Amino acid sequence: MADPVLTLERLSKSFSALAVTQAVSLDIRPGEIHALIGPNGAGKTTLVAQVAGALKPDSGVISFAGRDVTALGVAARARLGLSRVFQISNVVGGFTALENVMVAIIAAGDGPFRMGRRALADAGLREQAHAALDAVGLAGRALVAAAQLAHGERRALELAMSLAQHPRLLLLDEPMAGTGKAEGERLAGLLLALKGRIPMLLIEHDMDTVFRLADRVSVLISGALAMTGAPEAVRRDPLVRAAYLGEDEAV
Amino acid sequence: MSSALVISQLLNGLQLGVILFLVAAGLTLVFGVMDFINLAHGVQYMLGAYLVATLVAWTGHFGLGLLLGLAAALALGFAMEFLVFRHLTRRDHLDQVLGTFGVILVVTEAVRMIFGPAPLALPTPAVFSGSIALFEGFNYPTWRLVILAVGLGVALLLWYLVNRTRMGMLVRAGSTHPATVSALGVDIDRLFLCVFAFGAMLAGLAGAMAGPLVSVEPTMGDRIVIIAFVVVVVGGTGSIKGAFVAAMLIGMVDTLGRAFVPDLLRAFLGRSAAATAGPALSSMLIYLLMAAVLSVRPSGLFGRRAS
Amino acid sequence: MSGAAAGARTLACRLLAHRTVLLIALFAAALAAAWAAGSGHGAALVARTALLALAAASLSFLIGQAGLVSFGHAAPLGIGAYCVLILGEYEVRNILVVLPAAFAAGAAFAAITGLVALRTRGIYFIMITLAFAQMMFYVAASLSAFGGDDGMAIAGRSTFFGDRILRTDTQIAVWAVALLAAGLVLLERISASRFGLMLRTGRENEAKLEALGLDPFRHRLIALALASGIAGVAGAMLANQVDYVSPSLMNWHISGELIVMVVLGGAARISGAVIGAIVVVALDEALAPFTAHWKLGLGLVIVAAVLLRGADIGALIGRPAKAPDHG
Repeated sequence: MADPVLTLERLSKSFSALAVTQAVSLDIRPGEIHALIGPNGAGKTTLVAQVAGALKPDSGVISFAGRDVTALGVAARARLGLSRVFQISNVVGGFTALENVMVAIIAAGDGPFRMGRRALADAGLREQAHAALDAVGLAGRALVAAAQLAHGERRALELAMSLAQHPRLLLLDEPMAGTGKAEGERLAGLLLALKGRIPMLLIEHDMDTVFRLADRVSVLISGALAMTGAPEAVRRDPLVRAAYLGEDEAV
Repeated sequence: MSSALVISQLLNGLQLGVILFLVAAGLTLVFGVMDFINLAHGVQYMLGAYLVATLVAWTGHFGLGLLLGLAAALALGFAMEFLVFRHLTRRDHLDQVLGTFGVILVVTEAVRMIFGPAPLALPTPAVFSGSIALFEGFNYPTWRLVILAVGLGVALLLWYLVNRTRMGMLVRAGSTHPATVSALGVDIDRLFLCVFAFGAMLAGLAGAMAGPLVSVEPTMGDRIVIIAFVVVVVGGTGSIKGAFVAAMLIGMVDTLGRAFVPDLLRAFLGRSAAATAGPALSSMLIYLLMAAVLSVRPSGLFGRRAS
Repeated sequence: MSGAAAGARTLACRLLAHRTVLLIALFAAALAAAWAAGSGHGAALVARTALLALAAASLSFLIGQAGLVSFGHAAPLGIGAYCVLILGEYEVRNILVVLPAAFAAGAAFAAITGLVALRTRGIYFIMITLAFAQMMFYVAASLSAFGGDDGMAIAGRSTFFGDRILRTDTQIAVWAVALLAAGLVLLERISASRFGLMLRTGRENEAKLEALGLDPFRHRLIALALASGIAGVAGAMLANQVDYVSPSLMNWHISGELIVMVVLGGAARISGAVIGAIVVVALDEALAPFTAHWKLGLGLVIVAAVLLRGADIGALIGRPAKAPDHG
């Protein structure tokens, strides 16, 4: 089997007395969609922040693309190809969709210090940006300000910004949160189309999406990893059912 | 250098420190509670000196003039908050900078129109006008000791208010967790009003205390307020304790630096080089101190950690 | 983005629709009028306005593009002026040395203080830039060899290899307007470039920019140095104009007035600062003859302007800066 893209080894983090991440170990293999689920307060957000580099773990090692990135910050990890799609859509509202994607391309290392030519008139850059928008179905919305886009469209735009950077791993923080049924369906379709090409760590609340997309599922309960396995195995696991799925069925 | 000189410079440093603390206390609370930058705080220092000088001359009695002047400074604080500042608290920092800068221009120029550009005399009250022999062969001006005592007294009072009263708790909470405080149903605008006016009065007190030592003139607040900014930054916004520690530190460093750095440099450099570099270096000291503190702790000595 | 086959007419139309070009044309026309009328005062006024506009434009680049509200822009202005004074004392007057030196000195000051200031945000940044500028004010005032508190007259105006090219007010004004034009073109060009786009993204959404792989620190440091270098050049020319340099050029009121110019004219576009500079100088010229207290009027205008702008448009700085080609 090929080396994993991302490996977490015994990652731990506490806020004073509260252990929010407890010796979490997990890996993501090339091409797989690895879902991370867990009840509210299980510590998913904190774990994502540590993977992205926004939060330093107290102990443990994070390896990405074959190197130890535990000490690197957000920007450095992003440059290595770890691309995060935020839980709350995070785009530049005043810029057009096209500009947002161009920003992503430049920030990834395509001449961010160049001062001579006009950025928005750069034909090559525009072409790449259009292609990325096309790939997520936003071709017709390129010149609309990001703030004017519908919620699902902003999600798609963020995905386009990530894809334009040719990431080695997508870190998706609850992509379905707040989307309507049709929008969610479209987004799931997009992710499914990417499956196999780009590995993803998918943090998601919506179980239908998780079981439809994921190759493996890890369950986080109270900051510790309860189990990792194939979706069917996780679905059947009594511990998981009790801690997590049970509350769904009770509804 | 004699020990008397050293002691008198130490006392001068402490005295500058308490003046700085009086000015910075109001600033830091207003920053903390509302994330509000008030460049015009120096104007309140200047107004305090003018009000007290005028009222002392009018009543012919220092204590009475001081009390009336402080009441007037408090009233002016309320008035200015009502007229201008409350409309700026929810604006971005650029608007706050601009608006409070405009207030400086208006008030400074208005004072110049009313009182004229010449400095106003604020005589030291007769009882405190001499100097006291602290020990054999060492005399120190009484008024400076009074300033020290008043400043330390106010610091104690503030410590009590902030740590032991409901209002103080709200102010402290407001400067660290503003969202929580408003969620508790506290009117954060009224809190701001009180903190602002009280801070204005403290700055006015500082101006009145410093009045007999410096010249009372329209731009007297400019110098002090920028050093007060340095105090706030070094201490950490919103922290009274930080403001006190930083004010003492900066008062000391500035005073001792000006007094002794040229002499120290003379020991290492030549006389002429020291004569050039000495004054320049000593006037840079507090800013270098600020830079050093911020390099280690970007949010100040006692500031909240930037998340 | 018109086609390649733009004729001379469309080119002329486009140029005149360009606000920056219009403003430079306005300066040139005012200068020509002053020259035709033989008015030294007029030429001096044009020169002063153009140089303040240049300094304000560089600050606008910081505030409007990079989102860095510096309250210390008078410092590089004064540093540039002191370059003229100090180099002049050592017989260095060639403008090809003096102006680059002023640029380098202003930029170096900003780069060094920026290393500390840029570690902070919001009101901290404002106060720290103010404090560092005040430090330079006191340093200048302590330079007893160069006039101390009072400042001193420069030994002579800058020359071009001994040629006295800045002898008259008109000559200075020509240089000032040319430098303003060059500065505006440079700043607008950079604003529209990839570098400028990164600066604006950092202003709008720093967290996202970092998540995209770019820490904006170096961009901001470069922007700070560049803008301060330009302010240094403006300061050097101001020193030449008044033949005198004193610490008062670094007074924090100058920093405040530069911010006033930027905001009154609109920070969204670089050329707004030029309009702001014209307004402030015009206000000065119009009110100063009637009252020594003209700053009272300026202050009232500023307070009113800030208070009357509605809360929603109050976030001027939050609005994306337009690409500077839309006229």
